[in-house]
Amino acid sequence: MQPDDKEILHLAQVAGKKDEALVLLMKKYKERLYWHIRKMVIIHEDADDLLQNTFMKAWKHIGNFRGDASLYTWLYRIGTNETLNYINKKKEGLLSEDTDMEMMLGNKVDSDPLFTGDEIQKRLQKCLQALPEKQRLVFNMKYYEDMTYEQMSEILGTSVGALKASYFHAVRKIEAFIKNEVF
Amino acid sequence: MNEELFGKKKLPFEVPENYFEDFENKMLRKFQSESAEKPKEDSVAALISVVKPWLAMAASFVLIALIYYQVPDFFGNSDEVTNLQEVEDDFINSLALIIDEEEINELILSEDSALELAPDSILFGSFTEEELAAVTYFE
Repeated sequence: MQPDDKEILHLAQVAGKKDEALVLLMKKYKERLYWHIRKMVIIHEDADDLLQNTFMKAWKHIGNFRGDASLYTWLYRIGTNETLNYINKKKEGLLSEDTDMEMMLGNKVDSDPLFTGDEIQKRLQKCLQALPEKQRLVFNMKYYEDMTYEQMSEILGTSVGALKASYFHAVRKIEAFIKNEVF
Repeated sequence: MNEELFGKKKLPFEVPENYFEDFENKMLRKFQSESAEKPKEDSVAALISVVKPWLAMAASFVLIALIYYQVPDFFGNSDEVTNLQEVEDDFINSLALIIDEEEINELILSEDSALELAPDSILFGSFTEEELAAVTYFE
């Protein structure tokens, strides 16, 4: 049985028990967070680095965690920010090389040895890489992770209305890509 | 929801073998190496925090001194110099008014004076010949 978030938080604030608390936290959330990040960056090595950074930040700052949000929301927020910062930095780097980020990620889907999906899934992944990050994030959280708009709003700090609009636009664009066989 | 169009909801990716099983141990090693580095950083940070106010104070003194010497007009230094010269001139002029030349000569020629002057000294220049004869000392 998974420990309660409050128990983990309480343990983290006991002297000398922080590492133990983080192990419980990782056991509980690492997989969900990993897939959340992996969907955004596609490549396993990048997702692994970002997941490690996320838990390292959690380890450093859990002592200051006030408990206004749930631990799960807090972790997701750290993971999402790490991922978006990474994507933006990579985009800046690619700009100087005159390479397109969406094209690069689309090619990664083709060449990824850890990709096990069928043709339809591959096409969907390629369409997703062509969306703006926020729309892709919202689509992933809604479609794959079945999150409510309220949960997403807490994690992303965006209003429910704006998230609904993003999801709507994302679905419309993907449908258009698939119907027109863009990918 | 849209599964017909978008395919199965299951993510079409895999992870390397034992990735999730080894994850906690990998992170624990990272936490421990970070903890081992931390005291070093803390001691440097503590030293800086002690020295910092003193450095700031010394720097501010240097700054004040630099400004003081680089911008003397701002502090009225030249006025002080001219004031000093004026005071000195005034003092000499007022002395000249109080003490006249003869008094100085008398002072020089008083019995207690250790100063012996030759009769042809220029200091006797303003004396009349008679006066000079009167004060001339013959052995």
